[in-house]
This record gives sequence, structure tokens and C-alpha cells, in this order.
Amino acid sequence: MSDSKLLDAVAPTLILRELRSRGISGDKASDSQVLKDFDDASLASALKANAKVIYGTDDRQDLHELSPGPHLDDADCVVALFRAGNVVDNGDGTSTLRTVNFGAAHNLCAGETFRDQPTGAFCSGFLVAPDIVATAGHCVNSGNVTAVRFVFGFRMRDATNAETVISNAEIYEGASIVGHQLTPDGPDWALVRLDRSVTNHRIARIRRAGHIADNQSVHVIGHPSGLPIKFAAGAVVRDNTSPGFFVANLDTYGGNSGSPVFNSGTHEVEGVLVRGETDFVLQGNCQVSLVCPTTGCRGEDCTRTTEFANLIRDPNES
Amino acid sequence: MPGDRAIVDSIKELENALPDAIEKASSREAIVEWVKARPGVISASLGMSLLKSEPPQVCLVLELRLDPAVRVTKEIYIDILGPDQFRLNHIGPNRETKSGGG
Repeated sequence: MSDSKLLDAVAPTLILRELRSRGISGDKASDSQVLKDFDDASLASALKANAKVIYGTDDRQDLHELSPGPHLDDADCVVALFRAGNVVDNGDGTSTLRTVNFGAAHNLCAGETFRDQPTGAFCSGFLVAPDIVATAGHCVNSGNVTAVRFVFGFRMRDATNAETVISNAEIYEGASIVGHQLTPDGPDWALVRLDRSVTNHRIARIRRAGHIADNQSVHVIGHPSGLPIKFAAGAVVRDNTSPGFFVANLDTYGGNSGSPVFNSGTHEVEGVLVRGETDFVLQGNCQVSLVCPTTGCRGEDCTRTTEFANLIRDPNES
Repeated sequence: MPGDRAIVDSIKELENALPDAIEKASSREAIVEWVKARPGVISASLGMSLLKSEPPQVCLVLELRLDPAVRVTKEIYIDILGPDQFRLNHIGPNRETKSGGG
């Protein structure tokens, strides 16, 4: 068996444990006879192959687990993006969100977090003006914007029941693109004008100038894997050097694109989550979340809000 | 300019063939190799970053030059449906660069 095939046969959790033990001990001491001869780069490469990503412990929480306070307030501006065909009008003032079982859709292993919940959103977003939502540039463009629905209230009511029947008053249609930028390794954002103004949700406060501080604590709120809304804290800014985006060790997945990344001190939105580490690892014949060391893997990129703040009226200006 | 016309035709042909080629590919590398073999493509590279929509996407950046003076860069966004399953999400606009006769 070749070296790479040998690593393919090893459970990712074992590879991760090996990498962690090396990092902690500072030497190559290993309790794994199979892995001891591989260098760090080979192990990291094997771990990253086809991998959902968690840094350290999984910090994601459902909103019903949060106490009233600023984090719940932050969540009030967040929307789920659904394709129009997945929002079915019931004819009684409500619509049903078409969803599938998360565990079945992703072939998740038993014990994987949230595996019994429904999934259906394809991106996240947040309200930045009464009729404007910010999201990622790769989520919407001028060709699909009118076929996107912006849905408030896709959340878990309690541990087992999700809100999938939503009042039509909480569902908005995309009308047009106000601004858009999509570069492969740079800024990635879009501003979408809605079909009408939102009057019953908070408008996010965004940073309009300057940079977030190095190592600042941040949290993200959105729809990882298209699930009902989740809050995830326990992250910091890891790399603040690029002009258009910063990197943080946020626990995010596909579906989190467009999520607001909040400064945990000021509760101002600092960035839009756009890209990062691959998410899932095959373990035997089912998938588990990739778990990265807190300082490991590539980190998650967040487009700075200062990239588009000039297109949004400052509420502090008269 | 004849070169411009050739570029336009080549890009159109490439765009038309892309959806099927991507869906038939069994790996990311196979997509890159297919694109590289198309007329006029001088380079193609697949980004390492995962764009975090659901399904996630990767960006394939390719460069075409059929005329010494004209270079076109395209970004192609590909949905990752599974380890060996892909779908074209969308094709970005052309970014044209006059290369100064080089």
C-alpha cells in the first residue's frame, strides 16, 4: 500500500490526535505506530482532503439555547437565503420551506451535531438598511437575484422542532443588485435591494472605517449547512493583513456564506463570512465534521464591511 | 481584429461545453485537465479555498490567449456536490487584458 493510501485508511480523528500531540509536546513523540513516520505536512494534507470544519470545540448553538441579551439581539437582523422554488406558498398567509434531513442529505455519522435537523437554505445574509440585505457575492448576482427569497425566522423552536412554516410577512423577494464584487481570493460581497422595506427587524450596525483589532473576539450568526439559524462564538481574528478581508477561526460550514461576523465587544458587524476550510471528512462509510486545532487549518475568510459601507446610508448622518 | 474574433468564438465554445464536462468529471483535477486541453487556454488553476454556500463552491481561474496582444481571464464557479460530483454554478465575466504585444 502506498504512503498516501495508507493515510487514506486512517480515521481523521486519529490523524488530528497525532498532529495535536506533536503540537503540544513540541517533539515527534507518538503513540501511533502507523502515523509516527509521516511528517506534519503529509498528515495535515490527509486531514484536509475532502473535509465541515470546526476549530477546537464545536461552538455552534441554536438560538433557543441563548439567554436574552445582545447575542439574541444580533441574530434579529439575520436572514436565510432560499431558492424561490423551495418556498411554497400555502395560500393562507404562510409558506412552507422545502427542507431535507441534514443527516440523510450528507450521509452523516451517528452522533454528528444537528444531524436530525432540517436543511434547505443555500446562504445567509443580514439587514443593513430597511430594504437592503448584505450577503456574499458568490450567493447572488444579477442573473439570479429575483429568484432568491430572504427569510427571517428559520430557526429551531426547541431541541426537536424547527420553524419551517413561515408567515409570508417574514419572506422577502430579491429585487435588484445594489452592489456586487466577487474575486477568487479577495473581497466577495453583494448588497441586494428587497421588494419592500423591513420594519420589524433590527438593522445591523456595520464598521464603516478602519480595521478590526488583531486577535479580537468575534462571533458569527447564520445558517451552517443550510440548517436553522446558529450562533457560534469562541473565535478570534487570526490574520488581519489583507486589505479586503480578515481571517478568523470561526466554526462555519457551507451555507454560512453571507453570515454577519460580529465584533464580540462592540456587536458591530465587522465582516461577511465568505470562504474557508473544507467541511466534512469521510470516516469509514459516513461523514463527520473536520475538527481543526484552534490555530490550525487555513481559517475562515470574512470580507470587511468597509468594502461596501459607502453604498449604505450611515444612520448617524442626517 | 481576427484574434479578437477567434477569442470570442473559443470562449463561446468553451462555455457551451463546460456544464457537461464538469458534470462528467470524476475529480477536481480532471476538470482542470479538461479545461487545459481546450484550444487557446494557456493556464487553468483551481482555488484551494471553499466558497461557503450550500453546496460549497470552488473557483477555477483560466487564462486564454489566442492573439499575442490580447489575454482574457475567466472565473468559473463550480458547485461541489460530493467528493466526485460537480456542477457548474456560474461563469464570471471576461476580464480582458491588453498584453502589449507580448
